[in-house]
Amino acid sequence: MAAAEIQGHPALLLEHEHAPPTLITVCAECGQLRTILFLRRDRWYCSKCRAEGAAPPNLYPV
Amino acid sequence: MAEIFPNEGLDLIYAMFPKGGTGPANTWIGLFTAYTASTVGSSAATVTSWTECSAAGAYARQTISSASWGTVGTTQSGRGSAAAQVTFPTATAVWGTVNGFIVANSLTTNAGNVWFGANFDDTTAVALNTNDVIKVTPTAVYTG
Repeated sequence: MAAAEIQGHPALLLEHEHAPPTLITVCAECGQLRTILFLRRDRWYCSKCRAEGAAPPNLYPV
Repeated sequence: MAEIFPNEGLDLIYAMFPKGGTGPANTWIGLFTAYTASTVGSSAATVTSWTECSAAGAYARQTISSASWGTVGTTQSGRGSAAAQVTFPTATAVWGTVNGFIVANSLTTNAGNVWFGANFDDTTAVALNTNDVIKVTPTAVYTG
């Protein structure tokens, strides 16, 4: 079963030789196609943007 | 980043060319914790060498159909292709620190032959914790 697409999320078209193109989700902040993306709320982020950008994790001093 | 078709993967490729065999209809993607974020196994690596995430905390290999691979194109180092993105189930426990993905011939975690392995393209090790949801884009390059 294909995962549901998030409306309005940036994506690229992946062309296929014998089938219609499919959407490839890219990072919501930098727009880069990365081999791994993380979901935070309703946006997908690459490792760098997840750590430093719009969706940094909550960090607390220990 | 590094990637490799270990011997098991090369055997598959030889079976198709020049021996004329049929390629698999499906392969399965898993996540490995061995090696580093910028290195992968050797030619002799087999499934246990890659130290896949344990089949716990909702971790499971995901299916890649052969039809989902995109048009082959030229890359910086050869001819490459990407498959449709794969979303893993929400982690219900810590999966560990992952250095990349493998493509294997079995749905069963830690089983079967590993045909291909690669780091993530940003060469960053990824700590996967409870409630994380990830999407992976399988990519492979033949360097010739």
